[in-house]
Amino acid sequence: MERSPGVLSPAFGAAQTGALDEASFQALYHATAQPLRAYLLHVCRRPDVADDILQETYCRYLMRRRPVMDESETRSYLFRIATNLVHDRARSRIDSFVPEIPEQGRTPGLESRLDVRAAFRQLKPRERELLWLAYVEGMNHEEIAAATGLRPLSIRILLFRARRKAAHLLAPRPAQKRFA
Amino acid sequence: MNKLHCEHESDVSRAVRTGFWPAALADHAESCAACAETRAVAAALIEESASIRAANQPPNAESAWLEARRHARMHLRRRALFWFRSLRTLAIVYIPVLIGWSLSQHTVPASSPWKPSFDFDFSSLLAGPAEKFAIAGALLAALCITMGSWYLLREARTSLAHSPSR
Repeated sequence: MERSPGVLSPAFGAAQTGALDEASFQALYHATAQPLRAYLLHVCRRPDVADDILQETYCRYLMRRRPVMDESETRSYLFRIATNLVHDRARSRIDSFVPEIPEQGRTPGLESRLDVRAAFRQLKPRERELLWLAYVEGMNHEEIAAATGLRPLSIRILLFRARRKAAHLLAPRPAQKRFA
Repeated sequence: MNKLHCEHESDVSRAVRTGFWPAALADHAESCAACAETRAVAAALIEESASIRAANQPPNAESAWLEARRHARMHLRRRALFWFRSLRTLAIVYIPVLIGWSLSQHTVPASSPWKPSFDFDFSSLLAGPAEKFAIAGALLAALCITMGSWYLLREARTSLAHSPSR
């Protein structure tokens, strides 16, 4: 789960000049696609939408003229494109029905995982984004600001509120009677 | 539980991600409300992330690359189309206006009977302001053709095959 420094390095020589060949693209894709897709799934909750946005993110990355960026900036840049695309879709209300990530068969801990998922679903998309970037991707406030387009000074308070809300939702409730 | 921020928060979230808990940090996380909250939320998110990653793999890089190239081609084609559509609009507007204007300016002497001729002087139709209008139209048309062709050439150079360096 920790970031591995230098994973993206082969892709950077070409990426900085703006022209990314297929081998460099593949190195970049292998290093970033899985965390990016997991983030998209967590935020927008639909595998088909996540795949669409993932593809569109890389298309935009390849087509844009990019400034010189290091690995961390490239990662933030990709997350920024993906986040903007998620917001664009939300604004245009393309995905109107309540989504759900399908579970693959019955696995141990399924119920608790669904509880956690249900808890996170009650958060706003922006709150889910902030928590994921901070705690799963391990980004600092400046990187989160770069990835979300928010001001770095706002991140601390927004993250605090999101964390407080998530902690409240995740806190164990007193046992309830399921059947009357 | 109202503490806004603790300086060890990022250490706690890193410890949750890596699973490595120095004793001092673990003790601190027990006693600090902000860090305890961070620990609970980060642990839930890491678990969620692991289950998402285990169950869902991204599409392979080859298809992503080809799809990106296809997108790039479509993008270039749309740009080319914009210029060729502009050329069509220009022609639709310019040609009738120019013909009407030229004919309205051109007067045939009533005494001379009309007879077919191959040595008609077309340049006499474009006199005065009509000449400038026609030249401006020709320049705009040349611009549209050049830009449209440029994007079409770039589209043709964007191959959909895998690159040999792969």
